[in-house]
Formats: sequence, structure tokens, C-alpha cells
Amino acid sequence: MNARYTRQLPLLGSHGQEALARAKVFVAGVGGLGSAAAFYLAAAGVGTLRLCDHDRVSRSNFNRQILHTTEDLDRPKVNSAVQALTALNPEIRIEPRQEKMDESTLPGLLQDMDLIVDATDNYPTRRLLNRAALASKLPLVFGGVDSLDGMAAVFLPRQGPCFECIFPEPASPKDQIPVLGTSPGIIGSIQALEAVKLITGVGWPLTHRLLRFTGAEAAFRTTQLSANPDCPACSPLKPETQEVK
Amino acid sequence: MIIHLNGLDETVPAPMTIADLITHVKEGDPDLIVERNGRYVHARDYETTQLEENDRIEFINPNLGG
Repeated sequence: MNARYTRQLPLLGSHGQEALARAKVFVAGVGGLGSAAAFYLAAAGVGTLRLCDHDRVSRSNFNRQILHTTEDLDRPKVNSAVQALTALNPEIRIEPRQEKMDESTLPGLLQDMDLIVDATDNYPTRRLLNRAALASKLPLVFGGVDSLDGMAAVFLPRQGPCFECIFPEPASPKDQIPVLGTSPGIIGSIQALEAVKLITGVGWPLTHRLLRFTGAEAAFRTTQLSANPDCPACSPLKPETQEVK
Repeated sequence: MIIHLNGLDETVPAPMTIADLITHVKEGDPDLIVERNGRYVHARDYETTQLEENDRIEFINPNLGG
């Protein structure tokens, strides 16, 4: 077995490592969250990472988006991400997609993928991803940050709550959310952990729970989640006889 | 009755629902999510969920940035 993975093999086993090598993960956004998540997914040996971001690197990204360096200014983020991740692990396949995620592009972008890491930074795209995850029956690993804080959860397709059960459309969406780079570093790492757990079957996934990190207190808390029977996204997809947890 | 709101003891009149509490403490953020005793409360249940003595209530701001 590849010496690159020696320190994690006792945790994942050869079956787990092989499952990672076969896995195809869609990373939606290579900003703050996507930087941390993609680095650890690449390091762990996820066989295919499809990175999607339509944006270019700007100076205000550098406090948190550690995939990109000062030399990458104005480059498409997916290109600098490919360069950084390939340098870290040249043995995996990285597929850059410099596209805007919308209703027309997402079905194609998610083709053949096993799992979605939601590393986006705005509600409309998160909602579109949730709908696409439900339609494609793909697990959605949610992460979000604000200031010193962050949240993460795993939403399984058509089982329990979905993203919109827990986060209804905001009445007052925020434009520029202040954030210290450590927040997406912590939450993006948790998203990578949850993706690895889902792929390998190791541990217990963060389903039916919202993990909340409060940086000022250095505290982690969890909230038990349940599906919203009136959810506009997932309730029409569930059979009426299914028990809603 | 005494409840614990975001970690602080708060004396509130009884009976009181989650919706009443939001008004009572003048919580102005329409996008907050609510946890009661460790469980998420859906907005459709705010009007009917009665608070009880020593309830632990969290008003939580969604973190949706990246």
C-alpha cells in the first residue's frame, strides 16, 4: 500500500482506503471552506475531486482561502486549486469546472459524483445545491461560517431533514459576511472528515445533527434535527407513509 | 418561571410560547433558528411550543458564509 497513507491506514483499513480511491467528490466552491476541505480530501486520497467555482482569485480572499497564493491573483480559482492540490497529491484526479452553479448546470456537474461538499458562500447557491442533491439522491455535506463561528451537518437524500428544513430562506440575506480564516479552516476540515466517514463507513456521520462551533468561547455544541413536514424542497419527495423523524 | 436563554438565566412570565419569547426579548433577527433542550424547533411550531421551567433555549444565527 502507498506509504502516503501509512498513518491513516490503521483507522480506515485497506478497504476504506480503496473506497476513498474509488470515490468521486464534488466540491462546490473553492473559497474558504473549499480550501480546507479540498486539501484534506486530496491528502486523504479521494480518487476524484471535481472542483467547481466560477470566480477568480482576489486579494480579499487571502485571509482564508489557503488554496490560492498571492501569485494567483486574477487566476480562475479552480486553476490555482488544481495546482495546489496536485502539488500535495499528484496521484488523484482533479477535475476543474469554472462554471456558475445553477439549475441548468448542476445536473451535468453532478454527473457520476458520489457526494457533495457544500462549500459555497451564499443562500441561493446552497438552496440550488440542496435541490440538486435531493434530485440526484446524493449526500450533502453542509458547512457554513460567520465571523469566529461555523456550522456543519450531513444531509442524506430523502432521509431525515434536508438543508432547507433547517435553513428556510433568509428574510435578510447578508452580503459580505465577516470571517476569520480559522472559521472555514475548522469547518472545512470537519466537512472533509464527514466526507471521509461517509465514503469509508468509519464512525457515525453527522446526520440528524447540526454541529455548531462558537469561536469566541472555543465551544462545540450539537442540535438534534428533524425534518420539516412542510419543507418545500424535500417533503414532496418523501412517501406519505414514511415516518418523519 | 426561569428559563436558560443562550446560557443565561432569564425570568419570564408563564405561560409563554417560543413565539412569545421572541417578542418578549425583542429578538429582531427574523432569520434566527431556535433550539429547545437540545432539539431544533421548526418555525411552524413557535406559536404552539409552550416553555417549561428550566427549559434551555438557544437563539442561533445561521452561519451561511464560506
